[in-house]
Amino acid sequence: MNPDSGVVVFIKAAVVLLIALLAVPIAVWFERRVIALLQDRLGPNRVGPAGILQPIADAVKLMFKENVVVSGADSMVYKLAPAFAMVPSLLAFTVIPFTGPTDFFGWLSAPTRLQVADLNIGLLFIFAASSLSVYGVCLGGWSSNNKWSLLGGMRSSAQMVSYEITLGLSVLGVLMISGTISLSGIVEAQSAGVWHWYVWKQPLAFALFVAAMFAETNRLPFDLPEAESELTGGYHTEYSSLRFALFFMGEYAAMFAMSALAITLFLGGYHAPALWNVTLVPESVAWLWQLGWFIVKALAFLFLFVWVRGSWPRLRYDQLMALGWKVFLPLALLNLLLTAGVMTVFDRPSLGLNPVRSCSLSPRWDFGLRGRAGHAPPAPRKEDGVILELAKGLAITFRHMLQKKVTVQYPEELRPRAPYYRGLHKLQRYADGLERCVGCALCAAVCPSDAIYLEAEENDPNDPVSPGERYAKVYVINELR
Amino acid sequence: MGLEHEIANALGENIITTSMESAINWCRKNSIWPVTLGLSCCAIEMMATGASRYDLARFGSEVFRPSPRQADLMIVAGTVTKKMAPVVKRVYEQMAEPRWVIAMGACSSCGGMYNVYSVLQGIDQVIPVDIYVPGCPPRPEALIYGIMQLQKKIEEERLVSPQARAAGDLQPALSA
Ligand code: SF4
Ligand code: SF4
Repeated sequence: MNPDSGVVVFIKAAVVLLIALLAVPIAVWFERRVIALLQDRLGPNRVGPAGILQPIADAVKLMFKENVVVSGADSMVYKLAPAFAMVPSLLAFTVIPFTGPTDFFGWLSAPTRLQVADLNIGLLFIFAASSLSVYGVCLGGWSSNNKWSLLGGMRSSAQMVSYEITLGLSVLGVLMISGTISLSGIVEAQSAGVWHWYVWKQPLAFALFVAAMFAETNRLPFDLPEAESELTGGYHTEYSSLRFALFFMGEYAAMFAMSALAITLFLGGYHAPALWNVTLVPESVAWLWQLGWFIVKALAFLFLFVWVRGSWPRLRYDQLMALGWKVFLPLALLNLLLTAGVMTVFDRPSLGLNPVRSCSLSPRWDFGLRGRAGHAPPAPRKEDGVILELAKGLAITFRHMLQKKVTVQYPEELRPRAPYYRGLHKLQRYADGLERCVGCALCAAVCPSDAIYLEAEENDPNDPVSPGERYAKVYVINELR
Repeated sequence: MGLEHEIANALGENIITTSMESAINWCRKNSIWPVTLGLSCCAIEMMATGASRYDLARFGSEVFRPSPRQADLMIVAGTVTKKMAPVVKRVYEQMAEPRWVIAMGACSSCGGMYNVYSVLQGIDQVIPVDIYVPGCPPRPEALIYGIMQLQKKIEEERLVSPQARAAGDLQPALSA
């Protein structure tokens, strides 16, 4: 079958959509389990084996919940906003190449990639699509007629616009080296093995990209738009049921889209690291092998997202803006300048932006020379301490992830009671059989639930029931009270 | 309430609605998201329940939602003063159906030791309560036990309303 025919494109689109949508519940489960492990807990483990059905229970429950439309909301915008948040993240998936060229076991007449549209401006398309998602968040916040939603939406638009600049600038270095903005072209340029991945040539750009990625997807430490301690739910405060679920899914889909982009640009896309690529698998199933590597890398990114969420505190709003404009933006510009400078000095200047030439054609040269472009300049002195602290935080949570969990599995496993525990609801006795109660009725007076009833009686001195003058003739604790 | 009830009431009680019922109930009981509502000392025990030692997440309930719109369960943890009662009621009203309430501790169950002019003598005077958890404060185990009881209660819920069930005896199912 002709790889360009409508049927093939449709099937590819369906498969990619399936990948994108299936990724969400898996990511939710993964996140809840891993964040629990990082926090010395067990996480969801009763709903299906290892809690794997948890996201399904959540999804169905959300589906059958009341769909609140608040009075005073701008009804039309309010209803559309979740879709605006969800669709752009899915759009980004259309240009990501998931596998190399393959004819799918001889089904197609010519090899093609598992990529819905191999746009030659793929990268621009992703940036265009993903910057649309800010509309969903911003409109959702504005239309709910709620102060917190509005603040969340405003914050989010400011944040996403600021960090998009860093995101775009950090990518430019890669474009200059590879000389193309087609995503498949960029991946092919990194095909020569792990040492040709752009992360080595553009380490600073990679770091900036990852940081800006966290901000773009509203994840901790940049989750100010939905900062729970200040803004209740932020922009989705007033959303319930499926519309809330859409926002939720949009966030996770965006996480995956951004990770996929980072993998494509910096981590060799679907290529396996060096040796494993060529030797191990036969030609016909190579595409599955590549898809597998893509998924492994995406999971690694997901782990990073969760790990950071479990380790770092949230930034304050002014810190967030200062970081974006005063640190990340200059660093991204510096990276751009360095890349351009190194390319001009050590290479023939005209070749820098030549689309025909990609670095894989001259691996010897560009690793030796242009590779220097990526050498990270030292961060400002003040930041040094912070970075150390952040790394320490990550190390601590990682250590705890591997430790034994402290959780007591309550219904099956009961904690042993301390020997001096006197909280049992019954009348206590001394070792010689005498009741401890002297019938003072103080307990009845202070019992918060009025659950104790007693009638006191004088002790018979010859046959005492308690060591005192009186004892409790009737002593009832009504636990149903 | 929602779509599922309309479908069920239209179809009457039959194999479709009952299996739908058990599927939905299973999902609901395994995904009870509480709203973040801590009023006083009991809230500390509620937090302890969510923390590592007792880990409410095992039941899928660690998702404490700050917004009542997305929550299923209100754990009224602490003393409800008469000033606070209208707020609690309002939060309850803001929650989306279906919603459940646990009165945690002596105070929210019956006023507890604060038998005074300023304290509401039990949250059930303003909102319906599903489960009472006794104790001052209840231990985390007690709260988990309460949530397990709530899960049992959710399992028993019926989609078809009693009226529709009564009507279903007269007319054949699926006729509507
Ligand atoms: S009546 Fe008995 S049990 Fe109650 S406080 Fe007095 S001595 Fe203790
Ligand atoms: S029941 Fe006891 S612990 Fe709970 S809020 Fe009341 S006084 Fe505090």
